This record gives sequence, C-alpha cells and structure tokens, in this order.
Amino acid sequence: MIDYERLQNLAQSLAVPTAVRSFPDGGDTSIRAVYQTCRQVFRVIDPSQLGGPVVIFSRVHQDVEEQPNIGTPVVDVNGLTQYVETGFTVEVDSSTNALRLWVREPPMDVWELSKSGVVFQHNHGSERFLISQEEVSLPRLFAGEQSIFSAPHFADLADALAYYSYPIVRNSECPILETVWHDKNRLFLVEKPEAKIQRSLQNFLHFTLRSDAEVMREQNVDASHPVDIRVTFHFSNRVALIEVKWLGKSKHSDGSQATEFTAKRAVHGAHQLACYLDRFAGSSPSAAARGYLVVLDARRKGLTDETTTTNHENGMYFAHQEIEFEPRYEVERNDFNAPFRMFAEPICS
Amino acid sequence: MRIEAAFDSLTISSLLGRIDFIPTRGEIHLLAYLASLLSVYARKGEGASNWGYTFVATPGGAPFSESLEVEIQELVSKGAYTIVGTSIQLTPEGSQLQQALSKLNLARDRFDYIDSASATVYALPAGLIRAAIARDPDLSLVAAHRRSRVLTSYSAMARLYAEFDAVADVLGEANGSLFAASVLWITYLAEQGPSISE
Repeated sequence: MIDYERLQNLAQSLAVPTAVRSFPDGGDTSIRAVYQTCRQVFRVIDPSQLGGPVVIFSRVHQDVEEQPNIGTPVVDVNGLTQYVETGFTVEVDSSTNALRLWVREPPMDVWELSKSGVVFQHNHGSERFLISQEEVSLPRLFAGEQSIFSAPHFADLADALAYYSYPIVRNSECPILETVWHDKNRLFLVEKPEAKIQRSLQNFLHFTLRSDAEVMREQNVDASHPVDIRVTFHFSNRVALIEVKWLGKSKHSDGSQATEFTAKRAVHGAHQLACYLDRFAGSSPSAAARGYLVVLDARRKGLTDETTTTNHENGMYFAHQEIEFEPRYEVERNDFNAPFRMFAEPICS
Repeated sequence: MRIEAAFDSLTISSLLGRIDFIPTRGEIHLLAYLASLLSVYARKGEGASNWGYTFVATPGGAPFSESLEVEIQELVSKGAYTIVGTSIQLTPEGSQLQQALSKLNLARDRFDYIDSASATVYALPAGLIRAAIARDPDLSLVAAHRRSRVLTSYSAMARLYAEFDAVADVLGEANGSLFAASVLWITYLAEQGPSISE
C-alpha cells in the first residue's frame, strides 16, 4: 500500500519535482544540466579540498538583468582543479551544455539568481539547491560524506570493505552503526549487536557496490549452514561469503554486562569461514567463492562495568593491535581474503 | 539484431558517458528495466509487453533481460563495446552505431524513457537505484520467493499502476516530466523500510 502522504512530502522536498513545478517551460532541462555538471565537476574536484564555495547554475529565463561580467568559457572541466582553494561558479547552458566560469563569487546573489533558474551550492560540506527562491537540501547516504556527487562506488569488494572500515566503522558514520552503542562514549555495545552490524554492512554494500553485485544476508552455504552476508556477482561465477564478528563488551539495556568477546572470537570466525568455504565448494562446485572475515573491533583497555568514560590511551589501545590469526588462511588457501579488522573508535575524554 | 535492445544499451552508455560513468552490464539491464517502467507510467493502461523485449527477475531481485544480454554480447564482439574491468565502454564504432540507430522511428518512441532512466543516475547513486528497484512491486515479489520469473506480470501491474497514479497525482502539473516521476518514485522506494533481503 502506497504511503500517499510520504510521497506527497517527497514531491514537495525533492529538487527535481520542485524545478519542474517552478519552471514548467524548462525546469526539467535545467536541473538535468545542473546535475550533469555537478557529476562532472565532483568527479575531478575532491570536495574535502575545497577552500571556498562552489556554485553551479542553469538559467531557465534570461529575464534577470544581464551582468557585464559574463564569465569565461570552460573548455575542459579538469581545468577547474586550479580553483579548488578559492571556490568557483559555473553556469551551464541547458541547451548546449556549454560552461562559463567565474572564479570565487557568482555574477550575482545566488538567491536572486534562483529566480530565473536552478542553482546548486556546495559550501563546506553543506549542499543545497535554490530553485525559484525555494531551498532544497540534499541528503547524505553516509554521515561523513562531503558531497552526494562524490559518494563512493566500488567494483571491487575489498575496496568497498576498506572504505567501510575507514571512515565508516572507525567513526560510526552510519545511522545503523550509531545504534550499536550502549552509551554515548561508545565504550560498550548493545546486547547482541550482530544483526545491526550485518545490516549496516549490507546496506553499505548495497548502495556502494556497482549494480552487478547482489548483496543478501544470512544465506545458506549448504543445506543448513548460513553465512552472514553473501555477495553474488552477476555475469560471472564469483561469489563472496562474508562472516561478521565483533569484539569488545556488550551490555544489557539495564546496564549489566551481557557478553565479552576477545581476539579468540575473530580467530574462531576465520575457522568458521574456512569451513563455510569448504561446504560451499561442495554444494556449488561451479562457483568461484572467496571468503571475507569482517571483525568490528570495539575493545577498550581497562573497562569495568562501571566505566563511563575513557582516555585516549585506554580507548585507542587496541586501535593498532593486529590480531594473530593461526592458521593464516589467507596464506594457506587461495579463496580466503586477509581479514578486515575494523576498529571502532570510542569518544575519549 | 534486436534493434530495440541494441538501441537501449548503446543509448544508456552514451548518456552515462556525459558524466564519465562507464556502466556495468547489470546497470544497463537495470536502467533499461527502469525505462520500460517509465513507459508504463507514461502510457497508463498499457503493460510493458510492447517494450520490445522482456525481463526476468533474478532470485535476489535484480532485473535481467536475455534479449538485452545477447545483444550486449554481440555488440562487444562487433567492437561497439570494449570491456573495462567489470564495465563495458562504448567505442567510437559504438557511438556511430548509436547515432545511426537514433534516426530510426523506434528510437523516437523510446528515447525519452531511456533518457529519463539514465538521467536518474545523474541525481541518485546507481546503488540506491538498484536497491530501490528491488523493492518495486514486481521485483519484491520475486525476491520474497527466491526464484526467477518473468517481470511486469499481471499480478504486480495493479500495484504498479496504483503507485504510478499516486506519483502522477502528487507531481500535479509536473507529472509530464518522466525525470521527476523517476526520481520521486525511486527515492520513495529507497526510503521504504528494510530491504526484502534483510
């Protein structure tokens, strides 16, 4: 059953419907041109390096008084990298896609400019559209993302897991991971956080892996053994089996300690994954499976049930302490990736 | 050669080339399926049966067309595409073929759908589109039962029409924009609860 009210709210708050509604005679073309240019620009510009705002706009109407400064033609978008420190403004002609550049400031106030077309503004990690003097904010998929136009996508699962490790897990930069903590200083995990961690990783892979990859949770490797996440790569016989483990201490909702998992848990996970790979090879001999062990490491030094804060020395004690796996399956077998230990930082006082 | 499939595939690649996005084969299947649904949106009361080729859903909820896949492989063998890692890149020969096919009548009939489906990638990440499409009425049914079957079936069409009627209704005067309809519907689906595979 469709949620009509939600749909109606989205129609009012999304940039594309707003542009088409505000400018029935050209809003569709203008916002496409702006989106296209944003993609081109943020492909060559790292938003985290920007020292000033970036404005990209396309006029539907030319009825605003023409400015004496008409900007400089842009021949190659790559050339915009030289203006990273100052910021810049680009106008895109929606009929020809030709670009014109102003270094630093736009030719007129952006609010005024939006009367005649679609304006995109990126300013220190904050992004918005201004359309006919209406402001439309742009959502973020992940908390640490600088621009929706530079959101990561990966063809390689190992690259995706590396990015998930840092910055996503490291800083709990994901709405689901924010909920795995029992306390605001991220010392203890909630009781049985496995499902949330798996769901966070599944969602991340779902959104960032290229579309030939299908990400599913709790898939059986044979008749009775489920692996946490299975990624099937269409158009090839490649399959990835991902086993997720967590280390650290968890607490019940009443504050009493629930479970503690040490490095042994990760070693056990590696052994479990190796068994899954063997079983999978037996049940699906034509598939080329590879195993990935993901260990969310939330260990803190000197933690007692009463601890509510930690300092940098104790909180970060395990940040660089690698786990000794024995045996080292990634050396012994060719279907086992080196484990990903992902340290999740506490908030240190 | 199945002209519709060749035109769709080459045109999707050409349009995505404007943002230097080299699609994977799965992304071409995904966007061609989205385009076929936009044709349903625009021509309400008709199914997607006159799209020119059919889609099935994989057990995980991804759209796949055998005709499109055969055509892509043929285009690769003819040199219209070159394989780059997991993606397929349009070659100059492929661009010429796309331009030649664009002059056909059938191209005029379907260009707007392909164009708006491809433009959706300008506004939304491809992974989000894929995740959203997996929740469309037809694909979510397939994923729930974990088996492949032909898409745009009669059982799911009623729900799809109801969703598209609502999309057109809330867009009001903007409902003629396939781009607006696509972005709104995909965003709505993407925001709907947990994925079926969770």
